[in-house]
Amino acid sequence: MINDNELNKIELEAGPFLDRIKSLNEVHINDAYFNNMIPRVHSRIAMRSSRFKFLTVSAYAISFTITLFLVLPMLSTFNKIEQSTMTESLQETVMSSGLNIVDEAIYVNRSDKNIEIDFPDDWEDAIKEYYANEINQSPSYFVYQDLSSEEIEAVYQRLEK
Amino acid sequence: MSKLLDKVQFMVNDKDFDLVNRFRSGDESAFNDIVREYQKIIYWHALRMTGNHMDADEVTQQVLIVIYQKISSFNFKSSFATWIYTIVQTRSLNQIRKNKLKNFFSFDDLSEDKLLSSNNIFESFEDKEKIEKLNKVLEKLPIKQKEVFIMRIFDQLTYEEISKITGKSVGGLKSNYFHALKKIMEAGIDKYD
Repeated sequence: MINDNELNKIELEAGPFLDRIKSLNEVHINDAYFNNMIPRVHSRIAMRSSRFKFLTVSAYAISFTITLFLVLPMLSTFNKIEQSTMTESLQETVMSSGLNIVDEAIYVNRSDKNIEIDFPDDWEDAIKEYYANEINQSPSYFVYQDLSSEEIEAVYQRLEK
Repeated sequence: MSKLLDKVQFMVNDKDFDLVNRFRSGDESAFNDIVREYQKIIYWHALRMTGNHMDADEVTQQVLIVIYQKISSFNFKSSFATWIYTIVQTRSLNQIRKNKLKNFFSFDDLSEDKLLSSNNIFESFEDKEKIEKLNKVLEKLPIKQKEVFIMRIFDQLTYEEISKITGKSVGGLKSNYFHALKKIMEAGIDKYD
């Protein structure tokens, strides 16, 4: 720790050095430099502000794109869930009409023919889809495979009623 | 320069209070008045700290931009001049650090470009030489000694004011100033002629 006496002493000793150094500082700078400071600073502030705006807009755009890419698959999943829910709700109707008809037909006769149901155009897509799923996914698929041509014909006829 | 220093008030004064409040209330011309009032003080302090016009100019502009952006957060707990000095000091130190990094990674001598950049700034060749000599003196001092030396000798600040600006203890500042004086005396007066 330096005490004040030591400091005062060295300040006195350094006096001539400090005066010489201070005289080096007595210089003049062109007025033009300081006169131009205000417009230069303002243009820099404006540039910064426009850069900031650009960065903000970019950040929003990037986050929007990322969100979109994340949300789209989620929406698609929700859509699928909704569709399957809709199909389930249609199940009762289907069960009471088409499926029952098919099931009834199955027990009429059996052979080694594969089943291909050609749905009438005016049938609801959901119902068509439901049948298609039933045929491909349910264990009774093999049962359908065994339908004879007469049975299939019977199914068609019942379906078309 | 001494006339200029007389203007620096380290107490909250009415003029600063008025300027700041005018700017806060949406009067953009108040900022121009602040620039006119403080630009020379900022530039000179930055020039002594960084040692060249190019960096001093960059620091001056940065400081004025910071004032423009942050003036709304200035709460008059210290004087406006102390607040500005704190910004100049921080920005100057940052610029010196940046230069050290640049010099470390660069193969070229960047100081030559910086000397050339000041050619049209000083009114006479003698003035330019004086500044170069002054920089030679100041660059001998480590940063901590340099900052207290500059603020004591050129800005004529008290240790308490320097302490507010730098956040360092008065005792530490006195010690750094003492060593700075010692170093300058050891170098010999003939170096400054």
